[in-house]
Amino acid sequence: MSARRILSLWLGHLSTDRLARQNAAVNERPFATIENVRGAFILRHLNARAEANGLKPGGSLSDARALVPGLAVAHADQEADRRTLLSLARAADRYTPLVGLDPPDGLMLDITGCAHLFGGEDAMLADILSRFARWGYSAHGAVAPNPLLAYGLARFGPGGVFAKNAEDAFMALPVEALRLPEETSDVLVRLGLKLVGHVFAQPRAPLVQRFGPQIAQRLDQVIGHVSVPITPLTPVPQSISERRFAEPVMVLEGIAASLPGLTARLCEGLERRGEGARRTTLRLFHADCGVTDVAVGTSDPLADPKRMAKLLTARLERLAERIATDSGIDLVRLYGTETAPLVSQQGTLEGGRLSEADLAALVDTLCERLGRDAVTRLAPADDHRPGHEQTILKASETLHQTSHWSFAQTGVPPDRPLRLLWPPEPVETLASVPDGPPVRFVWRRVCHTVALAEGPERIASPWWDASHDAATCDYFRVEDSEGRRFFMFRQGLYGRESPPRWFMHGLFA
Amino acid sequence: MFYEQVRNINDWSTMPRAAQTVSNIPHVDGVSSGAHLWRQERQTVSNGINVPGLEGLFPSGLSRSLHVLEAETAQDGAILSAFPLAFAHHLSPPRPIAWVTQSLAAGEAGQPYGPGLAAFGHDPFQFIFVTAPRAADVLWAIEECLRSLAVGAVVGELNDRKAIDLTATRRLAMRCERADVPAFLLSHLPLNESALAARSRWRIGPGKMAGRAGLLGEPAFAVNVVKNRDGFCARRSLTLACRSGVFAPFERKRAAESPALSPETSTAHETTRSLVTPAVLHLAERRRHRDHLARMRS
Repeated sequence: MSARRILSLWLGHLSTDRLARQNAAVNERPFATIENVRGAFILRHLNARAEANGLKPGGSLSDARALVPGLAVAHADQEADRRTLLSLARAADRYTPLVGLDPPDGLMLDITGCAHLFGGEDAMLADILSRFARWGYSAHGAVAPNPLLAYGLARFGPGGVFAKNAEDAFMALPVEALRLPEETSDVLVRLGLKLVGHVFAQPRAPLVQRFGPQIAQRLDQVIGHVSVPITPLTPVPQSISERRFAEPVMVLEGIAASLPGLTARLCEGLERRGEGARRTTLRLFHADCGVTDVAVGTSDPLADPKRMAKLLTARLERLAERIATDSGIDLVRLYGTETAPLVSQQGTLEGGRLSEADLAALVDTLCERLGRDAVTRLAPADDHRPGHEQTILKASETLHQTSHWSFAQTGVPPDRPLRLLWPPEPVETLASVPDGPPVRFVWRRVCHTVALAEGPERIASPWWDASHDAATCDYFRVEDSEGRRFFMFRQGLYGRESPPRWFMHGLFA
Repeated sequence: MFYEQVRNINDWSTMPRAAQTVSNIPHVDGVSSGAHLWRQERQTVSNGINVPGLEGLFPSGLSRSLHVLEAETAQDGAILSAFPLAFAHHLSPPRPIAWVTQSLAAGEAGQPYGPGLAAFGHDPFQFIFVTAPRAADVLWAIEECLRSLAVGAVVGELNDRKAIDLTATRRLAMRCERADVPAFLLSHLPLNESALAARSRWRIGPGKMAGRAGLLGEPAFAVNVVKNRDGFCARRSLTLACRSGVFAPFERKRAAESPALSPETSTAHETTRSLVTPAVLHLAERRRHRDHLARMRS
């Protein structure tokens, strides 16, 4: 238990710092965000200058204006604050994979076993604080053996690194450090139990009787009898490889050049477990606290570093502009987010299995550049209406499927067109008899004279499906005087309320 | 050890084509040499695509390289797709076909339709359809498909005159020849006369069917082979038996099908009359009547 090391970060001025990043004038004078509570404006967040002037969160705006006439205000935006905290948590991911949110204004980092990478806990904490300061966020941090100690020491104590002395330091903190509900700590303070040490000195049973079981739970958490879990923001992936840059990299080529090494290391780790990555995420840490994720998915588990690098490079190219205009990237990390066991594939002499793996590789390459919807296959659908007889499937999801098409129904010449126009295009026609095929028609502003026509093939909408307008269609196969063949239909019947309309639905070879 | 072997296969499949040609020394590893044998066998088989009915134009078949098929007019884009489908009947071994279409071409001429492909005797599931908005993406996708061992033929459809030039076709032709996989570039717009690096170049329009007995027959085409490194250039009128991919000259068929031209054919018609059912008889009579009217009109 004592081996656990938790770093708690407190961003005391998160809200005002966020605004100050957009407008530097915010931190030059007293500033507060306000919220409308039951018709009165209440101060929510204050910057350092406002606090120095004696303002407190929760006070009313009119009182604050009386105290500090030059107070500037803006409306509080909890959603934006939450987003900022989230993006900071992502950026803090560079220190440890186990980063948890501590809303509304804190982060919890489990740095067990990570600190030596940054030259010890003191150096790590200093590094984090200076980095946050560079990003424009004032932060306080404390490292302690459990989350509650770290929380209290970061917010109410001096901060810094505590090892054995953490509990002693905690005892001297105000009772709010126990993270009890506000009314409970108010009562404790009124009873004279102002410090955590005072509460510990009391017998346990009467405290529980008076304040409920939570206070006992908190006390246990302080001394480490009950552990507090941290929910990591991103599930810790099985395998990671990363590359740090001494200076932020501004050009895409620099990042692309680091990819082969990263993928090789990742695949090495995966291969040792007999796995391949089905989903790989490349996380780019920008020097100015942003994080960009680039994810690629493959249809088959992938353990080939070269192909992985190729797929990722294709994705990176789309980010080229953003990387060039931003402040650069100082850390690149590659996660095998979703892994699956590698299926052993034995190539046959005819290339059967082999070509299936090749097909998967081809489909992935095409999908990466053109998108998953652009690479498709056709499967039959159980419907009799032309245009509905097929379903379009994504090729990446159908690699191991087999064909269900039947060839029985086709005649000579083909009774279904080779190319389908979807949706059908309206056509102006002239027919010799109302129910017959057209004699002449205008499609896309070109007039065609009909030489031959076969039909009608009468196809009605399914009567059991009420969502369709139940117009019956008469389909004709039409050849014009130049030999082009068309698949057209008349929607509706004569003698009904609305006159029938003609549509072009497909083209024959 | 086991995974090393798996990796060997993957390495082999992603190796550049040049390293896989027969002239290279086969790998000592058992798996790789098996694949190598398969490769060798394929290379000996692949001399050309012998399409029945086109022997006069292509004596030793269409080479497994780039062929450019262009529409006679801007309205004829749709009929081009019949040709690669016909050629694909004579490819062996049957492997998936990649069909890359520029979105604009699909909008103009329609998307390939499954039941229509099935009517051509192909399994629609063996096609991988790729749609790309820009001509550059289409050309890239064709190249990627040719790079892959999984594909038996590649069809590219473009609606962009400028994209099909000497550089683009030379790139594709080199890829084709290295991969030993044919590619058919369909230009839905008529191209200008500039030189292309294709083995053959076809101009294709619809065949005029007027004068045939009043029902639709097999599709007909007016084919003009304007460049042919594999044989001869000529103009032909051809019909296509869709299900088998066999071409036939158009005029001969027309003579055989019009019934009242010579006494021999009419007696043949009489003899079949006793065998057919009344419904068919009625149809044949209607057909003759319509034919008669057509002749009267002309």
